[in-house]
Amino acid sequence: MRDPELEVRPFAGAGDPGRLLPRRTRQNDAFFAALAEGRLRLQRCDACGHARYPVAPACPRCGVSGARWDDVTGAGSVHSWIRYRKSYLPEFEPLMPYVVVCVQLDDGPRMFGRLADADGDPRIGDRVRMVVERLPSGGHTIAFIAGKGGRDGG
Amino acid sequence: MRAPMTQGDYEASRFVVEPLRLLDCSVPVDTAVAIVLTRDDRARDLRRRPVYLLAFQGIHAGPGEFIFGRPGLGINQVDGDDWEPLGREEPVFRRAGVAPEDVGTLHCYDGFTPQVLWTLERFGFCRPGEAADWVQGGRIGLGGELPVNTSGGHLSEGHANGWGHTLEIVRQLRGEAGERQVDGLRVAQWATTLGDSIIYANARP
Repeated sequence: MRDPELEVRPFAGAGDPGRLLPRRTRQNDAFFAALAEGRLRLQRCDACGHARYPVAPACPRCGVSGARWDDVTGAGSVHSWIRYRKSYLPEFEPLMPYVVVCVQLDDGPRMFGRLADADGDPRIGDRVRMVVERLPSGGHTIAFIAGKGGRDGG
Repeated sequence: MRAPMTQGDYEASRFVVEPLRLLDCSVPVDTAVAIVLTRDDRARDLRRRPVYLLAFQGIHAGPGEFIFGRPGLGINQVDGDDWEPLGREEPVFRRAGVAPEDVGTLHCYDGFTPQVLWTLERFGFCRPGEAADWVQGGRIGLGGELPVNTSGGHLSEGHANGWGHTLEIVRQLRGEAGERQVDGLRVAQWATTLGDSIIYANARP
């Protein structure tokens, strides 16, 4: 078994973008609580095994509501990417220009995050892994950094 | 915007969110458009020639598809399945009794340039992934096989959430589009990447 722990770092931008985080609810609490511990925890459908994100009350594949929380690795491949050249949020201003990747996780869903160590243009298929960024106000968000190897590497 | 845009103008415009440049983005405007919608029997003796609405469909939603969330059409997050557009199987064509090749001019939601390509693929004017090649050589210009957004659309005329397109469709089907007129036009379509669409004609169905 791999250790699913993710590196937890301070937020790389300026100030605190905590106001942008989703409101904590009974439904998404397990996700954010896990993130605070450096773990990526996704809902896995009791009926069909589909791992889903964002947090949802029922499986988008089969409609069954029962699900268990599963720790997954946060490793994946770049599915697509863009680069912000215009600042929309003051907290991200010092990071300009920054790359946001859409990552196909090895464990199912796709997730977005800033590519924290982007050096030039990413390439579709590049291996990346998730890191957690801790906001000054205590919330957590995710970012990605370059990873190595295939499903069991990096 | 009225001045012709060159490839050089485009490449000189700054990136906003790469790969989209300023000239990939629509032009914000304040505007107003009014449309009078009534029954066929009432429209018949009006002074202005009516345009007929053959069929429409709304934004598609479901377990695997929600607004801005469809693989190939935007954010790509909901699932990792390969998704192919319905193309000519979109219900609006069946309801209107027409096929994509019957559409004489397409007017599509173009907040950003890629949405034009996605709409062409979604509604079956070309195969998935082929729109960028398909539009080459004036195919979607005036006099081409499928004139698209003849009034300039959001990208050039101004972003009025489709109302400018609707006004242009009415002008086109009435034969009142002047130098932008599509010759011999019978059927016009409004469509977006999210699946909503309206098909209009210049004569009663």
